[in-house]
Amino acid sequence: MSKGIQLLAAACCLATGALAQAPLDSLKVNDDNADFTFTESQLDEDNDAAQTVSSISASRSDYFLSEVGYRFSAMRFRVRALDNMYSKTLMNGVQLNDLEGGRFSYGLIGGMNDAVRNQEGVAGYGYNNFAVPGLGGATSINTRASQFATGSKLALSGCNRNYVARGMLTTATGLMDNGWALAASAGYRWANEGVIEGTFYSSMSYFLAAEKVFNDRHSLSLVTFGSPTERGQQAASTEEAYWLVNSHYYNPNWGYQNGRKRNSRVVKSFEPTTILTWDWKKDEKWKWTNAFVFKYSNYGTTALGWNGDAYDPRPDYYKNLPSSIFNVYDPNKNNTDYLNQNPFLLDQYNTLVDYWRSSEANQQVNWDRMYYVNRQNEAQGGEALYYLERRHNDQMVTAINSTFNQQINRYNKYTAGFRFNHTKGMHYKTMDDLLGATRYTDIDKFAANDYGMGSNEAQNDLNNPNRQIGIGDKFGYNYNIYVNRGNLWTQYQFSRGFFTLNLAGNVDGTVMQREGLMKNGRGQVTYVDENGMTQTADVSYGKSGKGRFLSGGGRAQMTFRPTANHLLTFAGIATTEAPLARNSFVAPRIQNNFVDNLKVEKIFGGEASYALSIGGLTAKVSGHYLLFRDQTEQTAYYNDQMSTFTYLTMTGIEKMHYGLEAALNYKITSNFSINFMAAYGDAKYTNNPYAQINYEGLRTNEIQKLNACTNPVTNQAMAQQVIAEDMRVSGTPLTALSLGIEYNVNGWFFEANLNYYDRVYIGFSPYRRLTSTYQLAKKFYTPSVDANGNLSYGDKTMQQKYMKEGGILFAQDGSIVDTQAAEQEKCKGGFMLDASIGKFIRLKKGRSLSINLSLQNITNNTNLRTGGYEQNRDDYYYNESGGQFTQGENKGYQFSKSSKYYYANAFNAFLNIGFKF
Amino acid sequence: MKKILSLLLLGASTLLATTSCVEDFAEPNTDDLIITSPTSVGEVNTTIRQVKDRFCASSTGADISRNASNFAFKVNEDLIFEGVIVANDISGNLYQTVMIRNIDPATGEDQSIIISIKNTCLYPYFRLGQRLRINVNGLYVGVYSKVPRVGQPYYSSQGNLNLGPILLDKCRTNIELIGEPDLTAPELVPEDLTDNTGEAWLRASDNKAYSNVPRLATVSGLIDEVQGAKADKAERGELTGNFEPLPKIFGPDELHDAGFGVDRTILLKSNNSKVALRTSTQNNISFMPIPQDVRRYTGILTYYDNWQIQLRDINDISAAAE
Repeated sequence: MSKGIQLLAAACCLATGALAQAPLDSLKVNDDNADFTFTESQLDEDNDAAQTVSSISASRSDYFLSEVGYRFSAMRFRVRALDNMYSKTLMNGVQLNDLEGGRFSYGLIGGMNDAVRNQEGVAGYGYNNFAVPGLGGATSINTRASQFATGSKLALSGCNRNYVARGMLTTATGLMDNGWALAASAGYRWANEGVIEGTFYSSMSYFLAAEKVFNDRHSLSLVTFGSPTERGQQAASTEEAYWLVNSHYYNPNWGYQNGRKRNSRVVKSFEPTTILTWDWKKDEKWKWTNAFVFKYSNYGTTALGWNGDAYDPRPDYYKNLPSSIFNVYDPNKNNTDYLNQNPFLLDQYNTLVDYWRSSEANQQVNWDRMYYVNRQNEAQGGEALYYLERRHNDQMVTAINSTFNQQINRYNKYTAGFRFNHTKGMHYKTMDDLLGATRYTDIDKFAANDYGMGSNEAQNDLNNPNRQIGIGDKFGYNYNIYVNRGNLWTQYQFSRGFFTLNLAGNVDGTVMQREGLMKNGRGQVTYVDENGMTQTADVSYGKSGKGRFLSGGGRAQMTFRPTANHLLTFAGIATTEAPLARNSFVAPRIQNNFVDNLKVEKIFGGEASYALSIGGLTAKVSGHYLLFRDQTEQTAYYNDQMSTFTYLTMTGIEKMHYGLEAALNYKITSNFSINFMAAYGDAKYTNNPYAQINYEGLRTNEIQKLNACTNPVTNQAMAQQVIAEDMRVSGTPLTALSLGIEYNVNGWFFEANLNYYDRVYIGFSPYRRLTSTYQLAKKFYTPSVDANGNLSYGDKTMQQKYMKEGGILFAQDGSIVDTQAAEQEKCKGGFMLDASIGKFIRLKKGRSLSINLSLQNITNNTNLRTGGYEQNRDDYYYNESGGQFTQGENKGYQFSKSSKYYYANAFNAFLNIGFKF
Repeated sequence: MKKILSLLLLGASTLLATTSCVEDFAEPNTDDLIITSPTSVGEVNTTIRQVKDRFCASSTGADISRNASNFAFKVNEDLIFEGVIVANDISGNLYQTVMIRNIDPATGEDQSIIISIKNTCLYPYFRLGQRLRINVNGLYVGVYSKVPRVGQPYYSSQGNLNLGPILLDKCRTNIELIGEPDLTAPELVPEDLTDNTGEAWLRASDNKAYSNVPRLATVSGLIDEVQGAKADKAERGELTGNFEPLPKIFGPDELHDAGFGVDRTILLKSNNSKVALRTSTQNNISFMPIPQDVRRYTGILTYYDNWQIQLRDINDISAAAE
């Protein structure tokens, strides 16, 4: 029972954590575009946060996987550093991973923990009855009404996390005499203010299930569920901002309005889902499940927008920070002599420090000023300069799954199935609040500055030029992404004596297409036709071509159980995956063009493990290795040098994930045990992928400039690449250790874990590691030849700089001798102590009461970073001459030393009381 | 019956949950919002002219001094003066700039000075016709490219130590708004230099001094770059290497200089004297086609090695008088 309650708490952690880091946008945009005013650039910090792999918590056969999910969730640990997209989640036979982004949205089942408790998990190579698992495994949730225990359960919870109170009521009839089974659940999670200041939470959830069991063979199940949620978000910030406010939990998203805290980043989500499942069970050895799902996701998040000359309203905008005054990281400037010579620097620095510290309001969004500026601007004939937009990423999914299981004989069984999924992703933004103004015209003010207010380029929709936008109107961008995927798969198991062989294979066909619903003025291509006439073609409105990808592969797993106490497992995989639709278009908000060199991702890998079970000791140790090739990733940022919003797509990415996992549990007595868990691995880029840079326009010379890079020896154009080799996958500890004890007696249970985390890396900026950026930053090194004919690339200082800041070494013939990526920041490791205590009480008439209190981070370690990201901006000014750029002066503010960070929650508690009746 | 009751309870709780929502925020009253001092910054004890004479005449003893055209003094005493805002950044053509002007009704003394403030979108807070009082204690006064201004030092993107803008927070301590904006204030009437007398004034060497700049003025003439064959000859930008578009506009990005501005030449009516018309790129004025006929141009008139005028907004271009 205690494990059940722990899993409940874990699920809660996972669900809330997932909500905090859910993929929110169709576009990965880092929040580093500080001093410009392009509206698309105001990002959410958690766009790119990969979610914790969930399937692990449902794996009953693997102690490591069953425990690691909740034990390391506070640090957003991802098993094998794999993104959630590599885990599959199914419900009643149908896969629920999103085809555009690949991930399963935990928001889908938020607040219905008791309804989705019945889960079966399997690791990445294991045989199962429902799907070829992902690399991170697979979870099958069974919510058929007949599977619910008869009765009702009321669960009430209180905590100091994203929400502070939760209530859930679940009731089920069980299978009634008439063959019907009904189950239902409703819940509500709430926080007027969550543990992070300025956040709030309001989420109800419903779940309804009905099943008709016609006879021993046939049953039909219908479930429908959803959890409409509205919540305020937290944003990452720089260490300087944290220092100024004296808290690692500073949230720059909110500000006071009429004395109340208003959050600028509010998520509204609702993903009503209906699943119809027909189970045909001929006998115990023959089962066929067919399922149909319809899901309509509504997901929108607000963000501040501002026009041309309006000042960036974000409180932690870099120009508001004291370190913008002078380079505080430069010892040649941050010293007494220099500051005595330039006393105004320290004066201004202190002015800003005082400003930050003199009032909490100065640290937050100033809503009043935005209202004031809008009103004044309208009074002077203008329109809204500030506004709140809502970025929608809606999705309509229709899918069918068919799964067939047969036990051929005592030794052989197989599972086979097919799946077809049609997904329509709808991406647009609407006006949420004009902040005191009444007028807004749908033109891109950033493009208006570049091309003129009257230009075609300034228009977001040439079919509706200068359209007036009111509350709720769509503006800016509007496009659909269609993804169709068909999938055939099978698994086979042979098991005899001490030997088991599992084989699995799948073939996938994926077709993707973009449909522009606005004719963007920056999506027009001008060209000269064969008659010498200048023509314009539109690549923004209407449907794109279709991207077609055939993928698939196979995997094998062998297990040997020479005795009942020992188990050896070996497994291997070779497969391919279609690229994600979200990474496949060069500038998806504007145009239909696909990324160049788009390929299916290749995956090779394997694992070996040894499990032991002797007496009270159970243990397992495993090693794993995965090689990824031809991955595609896209990011977007503001380009200082070209003063333009830029999309950077990396293709041909190679990564390697490998490591060791270990778990040990030793029962000292029947009710007291100790356990140890360890995950130590690496996950890194192993090559320098090609980069394609585009901006929200199609002028050939501009695109050429963005992609220009010249070999310093031959003066020939060289390929644009991101020097990413040896960069680590970010946002998860690559080292995680845990030592725990468990004790239970008379219905009481107690558990405590001391966890150690290390090697959390900050997400690296591809822009700062581009070959063209290196060239401008004078990080191209050509050799000099000494008297003895030896080549030299500089002295020790230069070599240290090369290792720290990165660069490329060229040979005398212009070939590349070596590349070095700029150093990636690794966060400091640390300990976290967690504990839980609970009691299970049996009452009369089959009733029971369970009480559980979980305490996390008991020592209140507030210095553990769970991740973060580098800002995609330069530390230098650029000088331009004849169209060529050269590096200029160092900026006062050093973006390279101003990454944004997330911290693990401080001490927090979760109390759950469950009453079954 | 029990099951039915449970389901009813469930339905009720669902209904309760769905009716809960996050309430909207009432719009704030911003009638009294200011970013300047809510209290008095002191009584006026000096004039713009006196301040300019004291801090803009010579670099001798300046706290920061790059050259004779760029220097500043830190003010360590309460020096308080007033003026009416006659130019701001409403069009984006002026950057981090508010110009105040004061005409003494008693003496007729007419003086202006730039207050540079580190923020964009200043115009909602500093509207034209607004009388403003500033105490420059703790701030710097000097010249930037020979133009008197109040500011604070900074290192430019070229690494030069200049008199730059004051931090926005200094408005809270050093600047006070007096009354409401008055669009009939005499200071808002630009000095008319379009006639022969005005143009003669521009030519006079003695007038090319700190005490005469900046000033709100109107000049009149033709834009040289669109006269005759020049109108169809696109120039190539030294920095960008690109040709400007045709027909010519005031501030094409292709021709921007290191200050992200473009200079056009106003040929004055008499004797072909010239005034540079400087326009920033990326604002409404910069994309406006250059008229080929004589027009009146109103803006901030300054002098460096030639007279230069910067327009406040697009309405500063008007038809020439008949």
